[in-house]
Amino acid sequence: MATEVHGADVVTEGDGIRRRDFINIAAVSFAGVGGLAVLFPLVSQMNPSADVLAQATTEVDLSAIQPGQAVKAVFRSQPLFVRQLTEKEIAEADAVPLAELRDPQSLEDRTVDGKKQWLVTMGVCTHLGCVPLGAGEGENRGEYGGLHRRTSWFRRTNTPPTPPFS
Amino acid sequence: MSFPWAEHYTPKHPVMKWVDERLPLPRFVYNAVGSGYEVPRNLNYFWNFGVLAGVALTIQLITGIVLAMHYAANAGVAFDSVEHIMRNVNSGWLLRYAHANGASFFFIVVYIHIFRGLFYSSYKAPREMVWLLGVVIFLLMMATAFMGYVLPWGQMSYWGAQVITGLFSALPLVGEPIHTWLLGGFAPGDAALNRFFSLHYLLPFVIAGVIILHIWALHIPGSSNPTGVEVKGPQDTVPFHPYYTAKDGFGLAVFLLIFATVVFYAPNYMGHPDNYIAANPMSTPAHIVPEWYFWPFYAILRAFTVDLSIPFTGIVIIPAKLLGVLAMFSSILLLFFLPWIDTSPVRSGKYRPLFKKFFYLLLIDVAVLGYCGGAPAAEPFVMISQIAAAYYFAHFLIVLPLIAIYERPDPLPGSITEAVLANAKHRPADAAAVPAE
Repeated sequence: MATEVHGADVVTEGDGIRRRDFINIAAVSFAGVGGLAVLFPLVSQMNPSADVLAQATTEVDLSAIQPGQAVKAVFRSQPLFVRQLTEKEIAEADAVPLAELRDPQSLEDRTVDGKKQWLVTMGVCTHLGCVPLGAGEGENRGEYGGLHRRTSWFRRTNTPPTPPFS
Repeated sequence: MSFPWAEHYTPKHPVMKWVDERLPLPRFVYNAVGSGYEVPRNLNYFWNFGVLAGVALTIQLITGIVLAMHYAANAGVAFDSVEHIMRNVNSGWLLRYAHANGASFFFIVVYIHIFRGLFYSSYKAPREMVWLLGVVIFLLMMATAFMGYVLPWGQMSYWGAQVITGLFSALPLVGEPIHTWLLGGFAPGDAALNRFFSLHYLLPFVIAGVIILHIWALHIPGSSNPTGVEVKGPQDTVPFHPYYTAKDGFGLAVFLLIFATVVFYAPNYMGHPDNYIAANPMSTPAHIVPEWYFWPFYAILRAFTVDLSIPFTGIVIIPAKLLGVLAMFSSILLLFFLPWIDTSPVRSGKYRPLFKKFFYLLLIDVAVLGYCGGAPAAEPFVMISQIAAAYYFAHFLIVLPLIAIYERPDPLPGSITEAVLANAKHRPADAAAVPAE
């Protein structure tokens, strides 16, 4: 061939790293970072959009809820149970030994300070997301939909109270 | 690929010659499903089900593309748009019933295809790749079918989506974010419905692509056969066309007769009435069940009712919910390892007396799991599914390796032709048959 290649020894640096190695690593790293930058929006678009996140606030008028009564509201398109407990229910709930519970949490912890009568829970089973039948009327009753059946469901499992309310 | 004695493609018409020199697609088809593909002469009707699965996918693709022209993937109108298809669109009822039942028939055909592979050990060397790609197709089918079932946005659609995506929330730490990410919200809604529709449209084409790889991998060693003895010479094979195009054509006619009978006379038999109630996030149906083809796996999921914890301390290592989810996924992922779990050198279950018994036991076991998966989660079904799930895993992880060690297989025929002729001796009319040399 007419063209002679001098490159091999010319580009060799003192410590043995060739120019080509540097170019290789630089190019692949650059392409890798670029690839990740492209991947990020493709993955993050799957997360809740702004309008879905905007459903994070729900207002419920508590004045109409009598002691012993429960209402079903909607929070993030899932049911929310708002109950005003009676003195008797509070006493009963306090009487339950915590050790007996699957996820020990006292009524105190589950309600806002000084407003122990207002119990607000997501009406969604923590198992696989079913809605319990009934808003937990009467004696802490309520059932898991479809998959389970258990009394005192909202205290015996980790059904979370909603974010701070006033 | 294929055997040296296979017919060569020789285009006679000048146009075909012209095409062949530029894009040899007709040659490719000829060598894949034409006279150029040599197939063992002794295939029985269980070998029809690969072609039938291909036809079932085609039915789903055609009806699905047409249904997408009339369907609206919006949580507000999705349910009504399906009813619009049923009531207003010309022949819409037929297309939807064919699509809904087509999914069931696709699974019926594929389950027979899978159990055929299990009985004749079609997964063994040199066909491991065929099997692995088959398991990939099966997983893709399950994902596609699940997302398709969500689209009508009925009660079972909605709560199925809630429960199945909820499975991912069982994973520690990353579970909840993954759950929200999958749904694009905190509960199934518009975002989830739209992405399910998009993926439900995409995945069948991915399946079609993997099927091409599946057939490609199959055509390298060539099809297996009921004796499990490899092809030894030209006398053992016949060309795919016309021999198996005819046999598959007959099987296809029977399949279409049964399919049409169900579509026209019992279109809702395999469906669930609750899915004719529009999705309601405020109320869960009393009894959530997936479609029948998921029942065995649903039973395995629900078989785990007790947390795995350190004895006497109450410290939970793996909660029951996660155990169930892991078991359900492993029950399918297990199949990827099957070619290396079953070490017996004999392929066909026909010559494996012990294996045969356990194969039928597995068949019954999966049927029992299926029944329990469709039943309410109450006793005695929970206990039965626990026993059946235990056997399912034991079959693959304990029974198969042990059989491979202790079983004494029956003598194998010397060749496919020998087996065919030994069979023919019982029939006087064929007694004069001479092997084609």
